Amino acid sequence: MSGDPDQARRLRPVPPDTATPPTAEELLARVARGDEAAFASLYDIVVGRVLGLTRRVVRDAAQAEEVTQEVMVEVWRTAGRFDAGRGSALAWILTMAHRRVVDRVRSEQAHTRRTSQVAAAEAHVPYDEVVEDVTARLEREQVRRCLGRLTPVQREAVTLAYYGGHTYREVAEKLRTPLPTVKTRMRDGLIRMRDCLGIEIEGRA
Amino acid sequence: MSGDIHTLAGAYALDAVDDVERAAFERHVAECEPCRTEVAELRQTVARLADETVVAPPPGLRERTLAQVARTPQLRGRAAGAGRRAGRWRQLTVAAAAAVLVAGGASAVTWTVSSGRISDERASADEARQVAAVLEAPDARVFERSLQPGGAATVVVSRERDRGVVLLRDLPEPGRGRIYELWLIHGGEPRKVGQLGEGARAATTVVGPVAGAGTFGVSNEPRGGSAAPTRIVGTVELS
Repeated sequence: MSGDPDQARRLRPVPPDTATPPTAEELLARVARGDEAAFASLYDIVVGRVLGLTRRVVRDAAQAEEVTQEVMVEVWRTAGRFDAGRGSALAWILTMAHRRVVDRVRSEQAHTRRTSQVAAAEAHVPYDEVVEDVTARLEREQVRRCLGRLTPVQREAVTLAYYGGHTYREVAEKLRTPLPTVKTRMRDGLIRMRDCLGIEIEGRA
Repeated sequence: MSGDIHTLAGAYALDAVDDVERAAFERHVAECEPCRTEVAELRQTVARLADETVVAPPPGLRERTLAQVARTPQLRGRAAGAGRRAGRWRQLTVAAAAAVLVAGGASAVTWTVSSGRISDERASADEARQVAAVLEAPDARVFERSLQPGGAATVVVSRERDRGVVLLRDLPEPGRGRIYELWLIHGGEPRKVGQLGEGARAATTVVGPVAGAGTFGVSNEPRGGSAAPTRIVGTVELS
């Protein structure tokens, strides 16, 4: 139930008469009309990533589940606001998930430093090989390859912010790099990744 | 694309900004179509980083989520969206003040009230309303600059309201017996519009009237202030 089973299925030869499984975008459009069955299918497609991402950032399985549930309910509530012209359904959901888990981590930090917790939870989240499918593996390899093309500072800035939930100020402190440099590295790094992944949204100048 | 603020695009896409910066950047993006496209692409890029994190969901989560969804009403498209912006800006106003406070706390500086105006909670609420009035103005524009030798200034200007909101953060220590003063410069003529308390290195304050002012400036002055700026540490062009 993780990776992207939807895409994996599409890789298989499909008899012309058989309807192809709906994309996340199609499901989301149906969810916007109150279709609970479509929501369940959408959940199956995206939950592995949403949970994986929130776990990576919050480093606590129970909290990651809470955030994942909140995010998925938010997807249900606000599905009508999704704008397909601004990116994929998956990116829309993951943007929401990241923002929410980062908010949680930061509000928690405001009360107590979470260093001890971080140390305790540092152990790697085991990846369930059973659910891994070929498409997901290829996609991961592409991301790794593209990350590998960044300069070390770009890569560290991007990953500390994304997986660590750190602000660019915190990243600047950690990397002992001036703030404007970190800002620039984050943007340049993402632009390089974007070009490496071949991401383009219509309307680009 | 005004230079300085736009470099935040990466940090913004990574959620590596605070509430003040997010507000400033979203305001900037709202009036910049190429920026919107860039942000959408960077978000799409960033989302791919989650490919690395996929895990198998635990049993029970699906049932709990579907059950909650079954009893959760949906927001209805545009009607909900219409009122959203004002609400968000109001929230951010409060968040903005909080963020500046947090920034001050983090670098262990004393939060000192700007212009001596926020003397009690009531004044503070009044200030928050003034800040909100500027941020919510349809013609509000955001300008941001790094200052030398450190810190940053963000100025949100509404010509319609004839007011600006100034956010200063991470200014260097002004030095013993010295303070920061704020100026609006009109045709080379600086007009004093506020000052920070002694030792203050961050502030959120409303300045005005802004009519005719082409530049906002921060200067380092002796305690008590100067009639005209003597040591300018940064300026922000308001156009």
